[in-house]
Amino acid sequence: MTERRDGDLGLRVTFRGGIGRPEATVEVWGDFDRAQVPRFEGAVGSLPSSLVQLTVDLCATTVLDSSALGALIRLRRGLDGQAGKLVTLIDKPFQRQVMSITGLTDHLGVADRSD
Amino acid sequence: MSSNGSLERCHRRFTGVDVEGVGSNAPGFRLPLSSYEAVAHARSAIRRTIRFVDVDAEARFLTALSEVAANAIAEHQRHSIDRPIIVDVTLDHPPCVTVIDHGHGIDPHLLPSAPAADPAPTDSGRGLAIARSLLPSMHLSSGPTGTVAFLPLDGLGRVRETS
Repeated sequence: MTERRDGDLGLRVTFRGGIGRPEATVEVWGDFDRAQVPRFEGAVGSLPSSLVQLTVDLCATTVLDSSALGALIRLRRGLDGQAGKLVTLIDKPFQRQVMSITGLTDHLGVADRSD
Repeated sequence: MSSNGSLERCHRRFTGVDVEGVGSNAPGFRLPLSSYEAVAHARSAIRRTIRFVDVDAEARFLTALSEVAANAIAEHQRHSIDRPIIVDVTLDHPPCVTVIDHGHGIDPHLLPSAPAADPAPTDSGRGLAIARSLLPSMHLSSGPTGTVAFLPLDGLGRVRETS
């Protein structure tokens, strides 16, 4: 991970899982807002279409806006088309509230690591 | 100072000014907002100026600000408005951030409330509901010549002291 400047968006993609059952995790840190959505979608767009699970780890995000949620909804839609599962990790109260107020907790497969 | 007190001070700063002539002598600074990328600069300036009480308060405030700013930018783009959106940071005690646009205005009563869980949600239209939820003290003053969004910082952060 490169040194983080305040508010910058960082992305790291890691793969795991067995042969024929690939899984990936995208860690996102910093300010995840509309200006950064193209970077995020570029990163997840390059992932193989055979993923059985994609985990998006948002725990280190410092801003999480509605455009970021829009990107996650589109991601879920894409995974639905290939029978993949989306898991979204959060661990901060503001992230929990953003998911809760939008009614997206179940749709985005949100798992709260602080629980 | 109470949240209402802070809001009153924000309001007083802009009273009588419809968005055509916003002005104030209070200490602070202003930033023009012409693109979504500029929102990041506004957040950086606020982080440099305001010491938030904790990381969650910072995230709540800056996410709410980002939503309001993105809404203003979208409104200007939708109507091809050339005049700049202004982010005004008042370094009063307590401080306040105000976002001023010159769009066609929004009806606060029509703002979306918390949406129910939807099995097939759309990917837009949640911004102001998120902002209101994260920053309940936020206030919108809107009319046909624009919208002023007041985001009080009381209880969330203080002006950093300079050495």
